[in-house]
Amino acid sequence: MVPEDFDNIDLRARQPKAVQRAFAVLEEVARCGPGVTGQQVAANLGMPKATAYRLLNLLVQDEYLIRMPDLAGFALGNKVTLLAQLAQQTANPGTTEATRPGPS
Amino acid sequence: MKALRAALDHPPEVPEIATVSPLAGLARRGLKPVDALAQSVAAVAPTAGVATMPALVASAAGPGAAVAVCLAVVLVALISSVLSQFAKRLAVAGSLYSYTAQTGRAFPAFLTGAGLLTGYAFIAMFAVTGAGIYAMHLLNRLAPSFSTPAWAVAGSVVLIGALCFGVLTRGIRVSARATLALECGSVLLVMVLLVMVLIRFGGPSWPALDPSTATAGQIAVGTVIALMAFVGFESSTVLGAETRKPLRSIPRALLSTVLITGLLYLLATYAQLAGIEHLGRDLGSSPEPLAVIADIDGSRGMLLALEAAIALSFLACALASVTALARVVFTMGREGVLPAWLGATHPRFHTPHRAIQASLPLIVVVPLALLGGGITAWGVMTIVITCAAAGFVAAYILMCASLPLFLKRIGEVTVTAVLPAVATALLLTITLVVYLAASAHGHRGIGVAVFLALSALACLWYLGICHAHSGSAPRIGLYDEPTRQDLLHPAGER
Repeated sequence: MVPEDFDNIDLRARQPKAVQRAFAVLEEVARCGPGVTGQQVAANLGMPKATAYRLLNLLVQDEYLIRMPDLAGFALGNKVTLLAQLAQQTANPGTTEATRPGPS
Repeated sequence: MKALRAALDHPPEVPEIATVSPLAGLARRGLKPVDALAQSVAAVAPTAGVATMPALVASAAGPGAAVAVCLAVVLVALISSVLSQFAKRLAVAGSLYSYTAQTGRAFPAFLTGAGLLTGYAFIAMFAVTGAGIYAMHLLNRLAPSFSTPAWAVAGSVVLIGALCFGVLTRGIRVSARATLALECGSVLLVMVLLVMVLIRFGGPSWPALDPSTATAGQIAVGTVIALMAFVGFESSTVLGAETRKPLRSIPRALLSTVLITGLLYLLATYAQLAGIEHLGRDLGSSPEPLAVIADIDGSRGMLLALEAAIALSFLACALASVTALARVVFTMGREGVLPAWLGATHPRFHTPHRAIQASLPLIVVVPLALLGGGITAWGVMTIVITCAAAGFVAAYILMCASLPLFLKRIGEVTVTAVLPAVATALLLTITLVVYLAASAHGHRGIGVAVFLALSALACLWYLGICHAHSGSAPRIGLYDEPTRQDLLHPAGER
């Protein structure tokens, strides 16, 4: 289940900058909170607008972000939870679904 | 990653996000991307297009036929790229109607909706009638001694309508899988046939492909006719709520459909030009060139395979078109644009069963009435496909014209998104005018008249709705909004 979710990321190895930028966009959405718009993300990160919109759309397509009902704002999606869990599992290989600490 | 970690530890409250989607009741996120692809390919009915389109284009474009088909592929690719701008931002069940509605302007959205309803309804009529005709062809070929009565086509239209009803209400997974199987069988059969033609005759000579003696007008009309063989490719957009990862799957399905059907049509045109040239005839004046080529050595096998492929394609097209039609009707029912009971879903099968029940009888009754009125089965086919094609192109124009307004509303205008949309809208407007003008006579003329009458009716309908809502338009543009379970959960929770 998990590998299937992660092999679809549309970022190529020849674009290492794109990976950094995608994480910067994700972090910026987390920092600004739900409802931040594409224009705000682009301005805050000093990124060309077209690049910011493209990254935001890619992150939305892979469900790391969701669009708010007005379609203009963004918020963090459930896939980020999955990403965090995967990172946690990689860090502690012994941890399983049952033994992992619950929400704190 | 500080902000991300803080968000994971204490996910922010997002009160704007509801717990259920406005389209709740449909089988949410159950379909695989391949099902969405099958929906789009099936609605195009590419096998029927392979059998009829090259000859129609050649009769209009003469020596410019091959170029006209290439230009049509480019135009469809443009429409698909504009459509993807919507499809990657929101998941809908109302296709182009729901996209256009996002601009906040009700009237153009209504016209788009009317164009789509016309398109899907009439292409469904085209498919059930075509399936009926080819079922009779097959029966005659398998049992030549059996003489089919005059009402046989009408009878099989009713049977096919009933069959579709059974499959479509049993759940989208069942109908999507049936569509996929039928369409795969059909496309494989026709591919084998085309490759056999090419192996046997080789490619056409250069004079058959050389467009230099064709006029620009001929090529324009040929391009428009070739474009009409692609309508329906947008229909996977109605499965937005029901497909996994819709914002990625649907744009991919659109692109793949254009690639598959485009390649198939190019191959079909090339192979038929070669076959007909070998026979020393002219493609434009051969009504059923593929049947003539298949029948060349009198072996019934290839002809039988061709007719089976076309019948399967029509069946898949009927399923796909009613699937799309019912979801547009369902969306309008949920919005209150159509009676609210049409927005109901089946408690067990999670299908828009009331919308299917309301639309299928119409799909069967109209062809029956036309057949009963003394029009030949092929005449009925011509009338309904002309009307459907005009409806689709009208919807495409409004969708393309809406994209800049939509992007402006959400604050994501870019030159690379807006320019193709404006250019495509202009090209398609020319296309529609050329098509309507070139279809003024005979059965095509009746189709154009029906389209114009329905457009006028749509305007009256809009005024009626505004009146019923005391002067203001109803709230339209319902789509499959993200729900709370799509939001970030506390770390450790799924």
